[in-house]
Amino acid sequence: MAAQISKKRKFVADGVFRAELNEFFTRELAEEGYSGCDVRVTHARTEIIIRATHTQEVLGEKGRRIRELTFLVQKRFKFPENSLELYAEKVQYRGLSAIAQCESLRYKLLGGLAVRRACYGVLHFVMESNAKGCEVIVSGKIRAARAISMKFTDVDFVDSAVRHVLLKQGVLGIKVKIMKGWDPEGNIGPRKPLPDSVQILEPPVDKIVSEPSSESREPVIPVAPPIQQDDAYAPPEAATYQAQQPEYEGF
Amino acid sequence: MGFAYIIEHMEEDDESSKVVPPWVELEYAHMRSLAGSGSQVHFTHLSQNSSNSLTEKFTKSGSDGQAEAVCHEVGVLDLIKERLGGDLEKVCLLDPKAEKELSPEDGDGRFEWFLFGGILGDDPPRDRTAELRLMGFPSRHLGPTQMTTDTALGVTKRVVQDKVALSKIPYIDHPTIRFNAKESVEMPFKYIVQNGEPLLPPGMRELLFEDMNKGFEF
Repeated sequence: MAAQISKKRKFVADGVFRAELNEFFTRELAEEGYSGCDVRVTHARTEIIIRATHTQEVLGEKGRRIRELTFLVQKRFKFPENSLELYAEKVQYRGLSAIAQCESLRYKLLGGLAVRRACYGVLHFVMESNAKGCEVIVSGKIRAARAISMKFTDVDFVDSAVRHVLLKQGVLGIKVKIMKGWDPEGNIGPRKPLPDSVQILEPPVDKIVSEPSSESREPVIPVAPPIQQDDAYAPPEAATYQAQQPEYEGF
Repeated sequence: MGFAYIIEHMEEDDESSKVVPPWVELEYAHMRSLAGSGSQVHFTHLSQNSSNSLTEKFTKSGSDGQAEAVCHEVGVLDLIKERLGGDLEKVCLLDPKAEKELSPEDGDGRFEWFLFGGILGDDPPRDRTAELRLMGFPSRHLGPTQMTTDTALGVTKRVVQDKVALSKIPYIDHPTIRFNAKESVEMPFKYIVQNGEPLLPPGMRELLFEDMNKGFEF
């Protein structure tokens, strides 16, 4: 790692590192509701933030588990001593994480729960967490039946995850998709609304147009000073530009 | 002129009821109406319980417009020895891995029987038809996509009896069967289309709906 490495190789190596790390945590921390990790590199050390639903289990008794994980990652990727730190962060909205729901459904089905009951359980939990929509697909072969895909939907979707479970007769596929409503804070959804959701704004106070009215005027003398025409062009453009901004700030 | 269709039953009996599973029963019953009156459908390699149970059900449901159905406990090879003098060339196996496609001329009398594997398929298919393939029958395929056994019989009948070319039969691939606003099921098979809908055995929709109340086996 100290030797010169080309930029291309560095980016590829970086991607491979993140992919392997994510795969490792997915397998190792499935029961703890692992939902992703962030890697932050400073010149002194590397920090890995693990997002999970059951952070207490990730930490372990007196921090034992997270120390074990740190050791494993450090040895695997040859990090120097004390240059790697692992942190566990609780997933804020479990009902809006497709990964967490997929794992939850996986365990329910592994426990032998009926498909309909397990899937509706997930659907209800997700919708109660204020998602705009959810879809759950379970594909596999029930005993004495053909292999089919069972789909349970509540409107449309966006965030998605896929998990597999080994059955006696093949593999059971689980897909969960969750659509989050939009949120300007960016916490429980994307920052921008969908292109087709329209918001009608009240006009700003100074631009309220009253009923059309007619006034009698003196006959207009057709003399238009050329200088004023230039001014007439500039403000309308500035006015329309400003009018767009309130859309993002107001709501 | 009727045709003879043989289904070599290859699934295990239901653990609790000790007879063929409901899905199999519905497909087998459907085969009688697909084959049509004047033809025969033979189910071979059935357990004694299943043979008795199916025979009883077929007798109860009568035979208007339906093929005659016979249940056998012996396997197809034994039946061929009994009735065709052991001549395998007289039997056409419908096999997804066959080299030749089924065509109307295959119904000209060169084959006495058309043979199918009574299998509840996996996705992707596990190729259990291989067990029959090894016996050395001449074979024909019905296109690349997997079909349910009753659909395969229905397609075969249309080709060899009604003389319709395989590509001219209206199909639907991987249809989605919707039960209500929230629930639907996708079937990873090819089905014949009738009145704009996939042609399912009577009672199959209800069975699919009920099956979602079951769990998986690990």
